[in-house]
Amino acid sequence: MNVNWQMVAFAFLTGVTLYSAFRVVTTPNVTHAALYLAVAFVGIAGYYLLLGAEFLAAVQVLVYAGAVMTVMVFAIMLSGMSDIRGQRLSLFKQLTSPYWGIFPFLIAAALVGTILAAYSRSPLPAGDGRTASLADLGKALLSTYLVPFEVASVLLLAAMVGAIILSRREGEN
Amino acid sequence: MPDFVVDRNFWVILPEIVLIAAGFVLLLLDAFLGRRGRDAVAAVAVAGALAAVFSLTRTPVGPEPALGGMIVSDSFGMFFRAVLLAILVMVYLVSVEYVARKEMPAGEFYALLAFATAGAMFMVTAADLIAFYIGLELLSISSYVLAGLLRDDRSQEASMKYFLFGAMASGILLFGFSLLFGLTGHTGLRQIAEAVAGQGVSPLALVAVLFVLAGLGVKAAAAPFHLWAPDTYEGAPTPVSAFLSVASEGAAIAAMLRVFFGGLNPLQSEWAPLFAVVAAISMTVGNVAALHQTNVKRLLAYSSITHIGYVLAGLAVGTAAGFSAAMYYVLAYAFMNVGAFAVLVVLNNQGEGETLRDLGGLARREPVLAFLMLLFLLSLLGIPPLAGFFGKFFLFRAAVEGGMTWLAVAIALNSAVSAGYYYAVVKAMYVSAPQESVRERPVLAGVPMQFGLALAAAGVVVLGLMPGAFVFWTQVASLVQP
Repeated sequence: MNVNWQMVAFAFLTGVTLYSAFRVVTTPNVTHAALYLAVAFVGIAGYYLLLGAEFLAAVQVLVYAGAVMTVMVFAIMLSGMSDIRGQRLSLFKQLTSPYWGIFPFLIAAALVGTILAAYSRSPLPAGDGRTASLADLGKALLSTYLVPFEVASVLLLAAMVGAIILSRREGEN
Repeated sequence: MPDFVVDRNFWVILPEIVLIAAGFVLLLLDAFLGRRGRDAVAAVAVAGALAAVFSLTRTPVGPEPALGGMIVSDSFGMFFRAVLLAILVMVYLVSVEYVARKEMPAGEFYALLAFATAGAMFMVTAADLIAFYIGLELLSISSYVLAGLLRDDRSQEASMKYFLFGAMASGILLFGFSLLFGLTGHTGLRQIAEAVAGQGVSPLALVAVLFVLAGLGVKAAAAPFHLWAPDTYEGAPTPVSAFLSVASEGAAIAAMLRVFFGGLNPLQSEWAPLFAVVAAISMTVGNVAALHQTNVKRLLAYSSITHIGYVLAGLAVGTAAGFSAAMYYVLAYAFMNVGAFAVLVVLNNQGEGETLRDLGGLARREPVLAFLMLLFLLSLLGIPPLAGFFGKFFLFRAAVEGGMTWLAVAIALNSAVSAGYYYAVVKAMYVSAPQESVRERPVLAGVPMQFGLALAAAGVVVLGLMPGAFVFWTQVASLVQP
């Protein structure tokens, strides 16, 4: 029997990622949402593996599923907002809610439909089958992409300075 | 020896390097001097911005992308860098007293403004989507923090709303970029233009156009992507509102000019109508909402949505005339809008608010300040011989010559409607009586603020009296554009 294992893996990863992404925004428990987000991140790492980008997959797991998630869980713990359950709404109110009722669903469906239709009707150029090695990536970052790479460090500094000022409590100096 | 070549021509990003270095110095200076060194920090900030202006005059200009094809220091980029640095100098001067009165962290405030401006300058000189995106994020993240620097709820709300909308917009923009990369296999604007021209119009390219337009539309606060703008401009520290309304929007317009006239030029017949629609919606929505405002900061926020609509009309026309008219308008708008916000900053410095009632009788309390506000408002309205008049005139002429008469009519009609709310401010200042509590109190502006106001007023008058030199500059820049 000829099974396209790559396709099976792709379908599995897509299912897991989509389901966890959906749960991130629908679960009322913030801690659960954070954990679902971690699963979604790992799912994305799986895509990178399928595409032959092992390094990116490892970075994705380390940085997103590891570091970013740790910070998020800390933030949830420190802010003490583990549950954001609001009042229960009737089914009619849920369906007509401007935030997650029928109307936004229709807009999202139309958007996804348009994008899918566009994908199916556009000739996408086939890739040249090359996969970049870690060495290629390093060389590119320090030659062609040197300026964006350096500006990214300024960006991180700005974000860090911002995080410190905004989280500083009143009266502290 | 490394087996790869690094382009070391860092001279082309000299002003950006100077600005970022100044930001580092400001952060450290503030840490060592503490609260007493606030004036020294402000002086260093202004000196850093002026050093960047000087280094801009020493920056080599050429149409060829440098630094690995990431940056192009052409006359288009030079024009917008000059505009952005002029904005930074004005905003610095306007902020000095405000930062002290509101007890904001001085070093961080000035440093983040420097970083934001450097990011915007990378955006307007980027020849590649990657460099462009990093510049945009540097501008955005610094701006989110700047909007939340006041310790009240309105400011926190302003920052949060801006962040949520901005992050969403970045995602949308990146998705559009990824489609462009997928279709063409390149991130360089020039290579994208060549590849798109070879492929013709595909549905996916249109989706990419739509996403890039929507993403940049949020950054420019063009309707219908403007929902964050009124709350953010109202809640943010007033000098920051001034900065966002001209620098952030100006950089977004420059980015649109580069991406659409550069990389996506072959699809012009597809994107031009979209711009026309967004322009018309933006002008009208901003105007109608501004008519009901009593808070002048919020009023100026809606009016900035209207003005972005005017500028987008220049892009919608799609001709060289429309291109240079849009550039001229961004320049003119920078001076008049910073000036109008600066007058509100003077009031804020006295602990007064910025509603129409607070402005009541300003002409009796401080005639010079009221006259300056009148000057800026008349320019925003488009009365000759001020900067705003020529801005609108060039856009109007470009629209008529480009065969988009209906858009020209929309500009004229909306200008007439905008007289309604600008007049409300003028009436408050010149006709209404001052509030009892402040009747006898003079309105004082410190020396840096006086320089800032003078600079803005000079810009408005000079651009109005002799637009020729600046028009020539915008025309040269639009010819160089690929």
